[in-house]
Amino acid sequence: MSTLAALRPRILRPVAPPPSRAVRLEGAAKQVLESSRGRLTLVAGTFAIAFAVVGMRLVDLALSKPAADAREFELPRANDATGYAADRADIVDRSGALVATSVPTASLYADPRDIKDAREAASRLKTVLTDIKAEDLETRLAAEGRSFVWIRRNLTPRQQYEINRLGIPGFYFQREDKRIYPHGSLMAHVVGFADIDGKGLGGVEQAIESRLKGGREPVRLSIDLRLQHIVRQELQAAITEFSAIGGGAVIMDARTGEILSMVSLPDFDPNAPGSAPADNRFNRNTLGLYEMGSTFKTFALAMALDAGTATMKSSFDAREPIRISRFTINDDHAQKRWLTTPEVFKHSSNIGAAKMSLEVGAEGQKAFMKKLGMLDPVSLELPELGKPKYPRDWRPINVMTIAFGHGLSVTPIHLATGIAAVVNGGILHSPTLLKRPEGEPAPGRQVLKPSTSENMRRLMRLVVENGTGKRAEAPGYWIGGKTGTAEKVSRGGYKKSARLSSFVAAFPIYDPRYVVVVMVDEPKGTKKTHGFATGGWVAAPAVQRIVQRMGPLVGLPPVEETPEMRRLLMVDSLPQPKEKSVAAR
Amino acid sequence: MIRRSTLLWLLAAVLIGCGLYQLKYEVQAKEERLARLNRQILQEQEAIHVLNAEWAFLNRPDRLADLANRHLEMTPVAPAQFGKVAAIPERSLVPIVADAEAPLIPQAAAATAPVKVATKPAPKLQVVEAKRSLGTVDVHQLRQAKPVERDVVVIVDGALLATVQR
Repeated sequence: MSTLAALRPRILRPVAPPPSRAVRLEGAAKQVLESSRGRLTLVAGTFAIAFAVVGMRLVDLALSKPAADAREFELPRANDATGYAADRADIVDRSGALVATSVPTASLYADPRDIKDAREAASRLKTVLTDIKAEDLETRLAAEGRSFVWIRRNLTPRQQYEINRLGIPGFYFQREDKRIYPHGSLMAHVVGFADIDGKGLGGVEQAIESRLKGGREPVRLSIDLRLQHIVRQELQAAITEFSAIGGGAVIMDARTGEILSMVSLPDFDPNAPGSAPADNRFNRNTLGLYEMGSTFKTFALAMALDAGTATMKSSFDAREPIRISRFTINDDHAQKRWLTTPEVFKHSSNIGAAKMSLEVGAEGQKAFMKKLGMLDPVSLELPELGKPKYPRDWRPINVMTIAFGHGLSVTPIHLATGIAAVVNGGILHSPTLLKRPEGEPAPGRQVLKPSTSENMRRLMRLVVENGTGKRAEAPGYWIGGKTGTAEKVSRGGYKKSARLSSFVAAFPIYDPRYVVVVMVDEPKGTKKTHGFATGGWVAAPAVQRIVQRMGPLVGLPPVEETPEMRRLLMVDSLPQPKEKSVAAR
Repeated sequence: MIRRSTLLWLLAAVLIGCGLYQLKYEVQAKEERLARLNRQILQEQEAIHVLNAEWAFLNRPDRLADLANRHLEMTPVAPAQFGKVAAIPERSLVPIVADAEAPLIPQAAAATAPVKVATKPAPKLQVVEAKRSLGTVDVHQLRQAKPVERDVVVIVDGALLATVQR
């Protein structure tokens, strides 16, 4: 003990209790006392500072507000007002109706290491998932060295419950979002579909993948679900009536380029895209390239009027078919006389349109088509976009055939976009499937003179009033349009029996709001149509029914003619004598 | 002396400790409740989301059309069913008596309803016809076309009561 005490440093040696009276220490004792006091002060000071820091922090915590999101990682947090956080944004129609959404489902997987008896597990699981192959499942469950095997993705809640009740060890559920399309095939070609991992594989789902993935705000389409339904019904009716192989229809807002409806038939169910033939996934409206036929005369006339090579009073010799090299250009509704510009359009004269275009020339026609976007794929929020086919060297024969819609293949969306520009005052709006912000003018560029557009509206009204498109007349809606019947190209030439019958319309034509395009693929004439399967017999009545049904929905009541309208639609050059007006040649 | 202060501190420490534990448990309980509520909100949001999808599914246009066909005696609006507001006869009191000096109320009308009468002086007027009611009269048309020979008509509540000639 004493040796230990001797080994201790001197300062730690126990100090004798202080005497009752103040004692003055001298020498070594005083030194010891002073140094120990100094050290005590140091220690006390350190502690005081430490406590002061702690105290300050306490005051700080008590007074300051808790940091936002400080608890984010500790507690499950409810989402904000937008609700359920799916891994993919919803898609809604222009009025907000749900078109595509992701719902949580359970997916079943197994850990083969935890499965004792693969055969028994497989046979028991088969009692719930009856369509599964037991042998196949057994080999997968018995797989060596694997710890994860998908059994079935996206179970129904009932299946999940039943499997849970079986209580087989080694099976687990994984929560997954499943993309569903409540409207089934109604929007199939617009929305497209997503695969089991939530990746867009077609339509808008694929085209704006980056915006949908992880997005919270629903994407608003320009499509109106109600119009989509009407258009699909009427198009289907036309296809059924004329035993056609398919068809396409588009409604476009003539003032903004927004596509309000786009239907391609036959279609498929995006909830089960594999269940329909792959051909059904083909979008006729954006991917299908067709020689549109006479509907293209709208562009031929617009071009000639805009270039000034023809006026509403010009006339053209349509007495004889045009013979050029080995081709003969004839008229379907041959009048065999001189035709004025309005008459060329009204009777859908190939000869007249061809001669009219020749006057503009190849250069002019190509430039015009380019300007109208007929030579490039449209820019649209879809991956399925067809690139127009046109002749490499634009010879006079091409000029003439393109005038009546042969030799240049475009998609129905091209046609709708072009027609919208022709009727809306000459402004070309790029088509879109996404709703444009309201109140903002849609971007566009002037491609035609307003006066040309005004004349074209008159001509299009003429066709419906007493031309080839009479069957599209819907009283009070003032439809203007143009029929088209094209023979489809088959190996080495045109097939007389395989036609593409179409009708393009704009209404109300005195101040167009909507452009409607209906196209029926390979219709066959019926008794009712006297065997005819042309655009005027097949597509025009469909357009009429569509317009009559959509009018009330979009808030357009039928209106009676006013003097102002009469003035806007009057074609004053129509009753011209045919033989006299040779001047324009 | 030392003992008393020590005791006091000890007591304070115990009290504070107890209070702290109490607080801690309370906070813990509140946090659990918060977590539970948050979980519940998430579940509800998920349920709402799924129900929204179902709502959209149940509102498919073809299904609604089918249901309407079966259960309602209604058809889609036909263009012919549209009319103009201006074409509807006005129901309010329409004083069309103009330029009349004396209150010009036919006996029949006087009894039934008050008729507003303009007070401007006018030449002699003579009641040509006075009827209690002619059924509903289209005021709009009447105003524009009808009174050709008859300068003044008296209409009360949509009904022609009298026509008056100068």
